[in-house]
Amino acid sequence: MSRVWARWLEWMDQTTDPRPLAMVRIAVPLCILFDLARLAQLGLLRPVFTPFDRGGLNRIQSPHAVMWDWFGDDGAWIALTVTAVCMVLIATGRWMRPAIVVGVLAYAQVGHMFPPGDRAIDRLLRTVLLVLLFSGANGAFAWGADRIRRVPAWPVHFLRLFLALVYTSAGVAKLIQQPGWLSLSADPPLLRILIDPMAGTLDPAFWAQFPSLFRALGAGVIVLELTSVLLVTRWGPYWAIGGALMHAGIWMTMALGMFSPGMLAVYPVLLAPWVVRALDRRHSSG
Amino acid sequence: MLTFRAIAVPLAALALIWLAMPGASFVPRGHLSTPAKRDAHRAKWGEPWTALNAAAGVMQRVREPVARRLKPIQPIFRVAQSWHLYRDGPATIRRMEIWVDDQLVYRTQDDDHTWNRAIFRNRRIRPMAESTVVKKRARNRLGLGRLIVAEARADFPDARTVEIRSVWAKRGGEPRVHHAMTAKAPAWALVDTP
Repeated sequence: MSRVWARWLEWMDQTTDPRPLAMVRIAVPLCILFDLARLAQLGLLRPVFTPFDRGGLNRIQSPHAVMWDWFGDDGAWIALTVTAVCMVLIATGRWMRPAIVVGVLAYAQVGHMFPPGDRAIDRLLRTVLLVLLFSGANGAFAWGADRIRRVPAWPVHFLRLFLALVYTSAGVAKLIQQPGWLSLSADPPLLRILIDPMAGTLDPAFWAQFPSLFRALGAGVIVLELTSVLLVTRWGPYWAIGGALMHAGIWMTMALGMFSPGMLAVYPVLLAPWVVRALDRRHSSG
Repeated sequence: MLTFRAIAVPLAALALIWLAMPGASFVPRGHLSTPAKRDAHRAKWGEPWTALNAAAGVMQRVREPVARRLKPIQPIFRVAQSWHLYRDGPATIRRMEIWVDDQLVYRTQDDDHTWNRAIFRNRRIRPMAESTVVKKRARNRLGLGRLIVAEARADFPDARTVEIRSVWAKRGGEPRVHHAMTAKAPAWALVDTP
């Protein structure tokens, strides 16, 4: 038992290059900032973040939107401003830990104020930020701070485990709800998703002629999602190539906003060995 | 510190796995809990899907009592761990149409009618548009309808009628209006039809 515990302690004491974590620390808040900036550009901040009875869009209120209880209508603007400031701080690496705690709490309020628009990707990015809270992600690419050579590796392993859970859940839920994902004769679910005009961007009249293509791609998605446990092994970077291609495909064929860029923002830790090698090569050639 | 980390990190990982448990977190607690339910499922889907579903149901009954105790923490950070993402699409092709007086100004995924497309396709608004199109009397239809009417009155100051239609079609079939909302000047109150 003591030998197992000693090996566990040794594993937990492993260190890693902080740059992949730092890249996630920069990319995740940038996704959130761009998403909120787009909402502002479209003039949607007021209708989205105003209670329904005062002219807003959403009638399904969350009981956890406490900023409205505390600050009235100003609650939304406070939550949005605090979120934006904290995301900037996180991206720059300044006061990273307090900025993550306050920023995630404020961004959670933004979600509670408009639940229909707070999607899985928002919950996922908040979870990622909470993992970064305990990491040395500000050990590199941080404004005004010296680079730290090595930081604890467990947050990298934790993020890989987390993404493996996300993808495996998605794959298993697909098969539980719709066995047609692996059927050679059923209407392909992937085709239905991508030609649904409300979320997809493919032309139903044209693409419905190629069901076999979507059966093959759908089976590929299932295989990819159900093998995502590879992310916690040394094969993880190879799996991540498939994952990145899947997200590129979703980006091109669906109107899901920051879903794909948000997922890809976490990929530097999945591709960490290659990212570090590429950065070292660039550094030595520079 | 290392000892604390060596205990706390696996506990956090275990909590994450427990909350997000693949398959189990997706099904209701009583999922395929009786032989009759399993037989009915088997008759429809066969194996191995019935075994997969039954296993998910068993895991959910084990998972749920503990997950329920962990859940109150999640709303604070809004990090509910359910990752079911896109599982299937509709067999019907459904679109939202917006008519100002008798002119079609917007139709989902129609390059010839793109009024305010960026708004209706924005990731935060799109789910509201989708529920308005999919469900008659969707709870959020009035909020979205108000926004559409306000935008239409600003862009078409002489307009007398704004109609938001949910148009459904079988693949390759003729589209028909499934349900709609209309607002008329001067009151601009939204009225459901039918």
